[in-house]
Amino acid sequence: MPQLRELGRAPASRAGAPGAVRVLTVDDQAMFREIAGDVIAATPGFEAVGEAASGEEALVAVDRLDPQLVLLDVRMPGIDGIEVAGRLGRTHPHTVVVLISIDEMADLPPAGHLGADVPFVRKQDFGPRLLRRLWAEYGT
Amino acid sequence: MEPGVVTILGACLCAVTCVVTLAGSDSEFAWLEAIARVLMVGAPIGVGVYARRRPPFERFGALLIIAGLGWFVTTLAESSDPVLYSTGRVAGWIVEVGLVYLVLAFPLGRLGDRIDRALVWAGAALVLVLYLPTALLVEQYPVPATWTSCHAGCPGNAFMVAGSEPTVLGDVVLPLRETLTVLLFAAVAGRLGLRIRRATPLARRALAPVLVVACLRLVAYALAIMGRRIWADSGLLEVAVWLVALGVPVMAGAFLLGLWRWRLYIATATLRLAGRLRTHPPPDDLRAALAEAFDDRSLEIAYWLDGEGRWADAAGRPMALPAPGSRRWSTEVRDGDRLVAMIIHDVALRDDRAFIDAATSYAVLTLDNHRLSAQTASLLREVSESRARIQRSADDERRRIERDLHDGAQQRLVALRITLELAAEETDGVDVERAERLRGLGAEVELAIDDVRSLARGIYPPALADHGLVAGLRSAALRMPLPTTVHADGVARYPREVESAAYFCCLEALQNAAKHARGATAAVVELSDDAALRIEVRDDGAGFDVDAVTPGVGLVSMRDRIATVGGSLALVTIPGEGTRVVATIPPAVDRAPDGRASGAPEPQRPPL
Repeated sequence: MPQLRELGRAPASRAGAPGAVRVLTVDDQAMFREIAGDVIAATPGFEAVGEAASGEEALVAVDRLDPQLVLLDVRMPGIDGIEVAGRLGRTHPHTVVVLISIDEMADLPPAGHLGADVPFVRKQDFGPRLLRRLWAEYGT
Repeated sequence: MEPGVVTILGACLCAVTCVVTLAGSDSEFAWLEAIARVLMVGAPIGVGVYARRRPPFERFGALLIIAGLGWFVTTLAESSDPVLYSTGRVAGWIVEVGLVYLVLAFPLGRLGDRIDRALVWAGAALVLVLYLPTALLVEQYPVPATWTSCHAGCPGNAFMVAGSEPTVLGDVVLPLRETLTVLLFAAVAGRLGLRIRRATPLARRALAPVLVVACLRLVAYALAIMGRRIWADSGLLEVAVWLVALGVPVMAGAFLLGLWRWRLYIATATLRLAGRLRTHPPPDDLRAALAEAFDDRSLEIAYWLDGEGRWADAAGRPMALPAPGSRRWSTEVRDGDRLVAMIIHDVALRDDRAFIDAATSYAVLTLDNHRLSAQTASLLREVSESRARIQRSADDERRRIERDLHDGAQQRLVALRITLELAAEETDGVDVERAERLRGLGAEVELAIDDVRSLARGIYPPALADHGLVAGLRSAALRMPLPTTVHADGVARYPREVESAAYFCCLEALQNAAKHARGATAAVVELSDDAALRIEVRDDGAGFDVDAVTPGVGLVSMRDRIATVGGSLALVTIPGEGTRVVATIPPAVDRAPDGRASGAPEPQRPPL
């Protein structure tokens, strides 16, 4: 049973308004989880419901927290992001999964089997604007 | 003792035997009896003298000579003098134990194991307990007997000390000891039969005649003993008794025949071996020749590597000698004082010392040649292994640096980039100019991120690190200036050093094609892995004349890269027909036969 790290951490200052989009951030890099939390908190209409530091944790966290949007890092030890995205696509078809990576798409293994439904964004492009755009495009 | 002295002594004993027999016998066949007794003494001594001078039978020869002297004492039983007669009869019992010893110790003069020794001790105990003490108690020795031709009116027992013969002797002791004696002889024959079954062809040849005679004499002995009780005066009994007596010279003849057959086999096998070794055959043929000569198909040869102080096979791979006490035996081969090789063969062949010596001395030169090759091969292996180790640790270092960049600098820059974006977002509604400045800074950071990423990728591509050769190549192909297609269906994962060698070799070839292949419009990378991993990079450029171009650093480094994993590289180019670089990397088992893990946690090869 993978250990959940800071799952459900949703400090009062970051608690979104009712009806806010519930976002789960999955990355083995604590630095990105933190900055993603900042971005989500700074973006009205979005709410960070938790963080997971590995693919294994992510699968459990999605079951428990039922997020609407999952920011999923591609390169992680253990089950990587592409594998997690594939599994979530089968078990939680209504959850929007966004792959994020510090690498270019070309540097990553082909993820063709996931289909075009799984968007890919570079970490450095991440920000409130991108978050809003992603949800506008895939969230409804 | 000098053979001449023994021969003269033997001749004298034969003469005495002849005289004693003729004097003691009143039979009309006295001369025949005398000849038989002379043979009983002369044959073992004669064969003994012969064997004494033929290694490795010296010890057995000595035993035969001693036995001959013992049989001489038994011929005293032909005398009509009670003391001589009684001495001869008692000696007759003792020499039977000697015969058991001889049969079991043939042909090397040593008892093989515990069972052999137990049989000899059983014989000695039988004589000590049930035969010798009766010499003090009986009035007459039983007749007819092997060692005397006297039937009736034989001299009395000179050693009797008791007043009268106890009845228990005739009722219990005699039948018991006769039964036990037959059983003992049967056990000896059985033991010999067993030894023949397990023996090498060589030992079998020597033992067979002895077994046949031992069995015949056993039957005659049993008949004689039974005959004495059942058909006391029959001619059959007479024949059986003489057969037992003549069994001694015939046995000596069997020993001689066995020794001849042994020597003949050795002569033939060594000649054949010498013939096969004349051309200094390669290691496999040498092993086959020795295996045939030793009649041991599982024979192995270990070569001694001087400098490294260890054993190796002909290819220089480390080899372990059999543990002491196993069914394998190691025979050292030396050239003078220098250890050359060890022949590892079936333990049953250990006794064939003479043959082994002959065979190894024929093979020593060839073995020494192969030892030198094994030593060279071992050094080469060491060099290539250390080269592979160096390459592996260099690769590990590259991976570590890439990982560090990915987890460190890149993450920090990304965090900075996002923070700037956040700040710009917050400032947007307040101070547009300031927000734009922040976004400009963000763009600068993004450039830095790209630089670091491209640096990390050059050091060790993440796709190669995480997803292997094919993913790495596909990802690299996307960035190639020359449009590149990768065909790699069904190619499995390989140990890390193989994947990185193959990857960087392909990359180099693709870069060369982009740089040098004039008129090239496309490149193809083709991977396949049937028996070996095969990589081909080809372009449709103008090609070039190989002889006219000095190989550059790129080609040399490709070759070196592939060589570290035991592979080979070929460059094929014809002016006007493009250029092909083909690298072949054999499977790990061929590269590291010592079974050492070679980098990656698991070579993930599909089952073939």
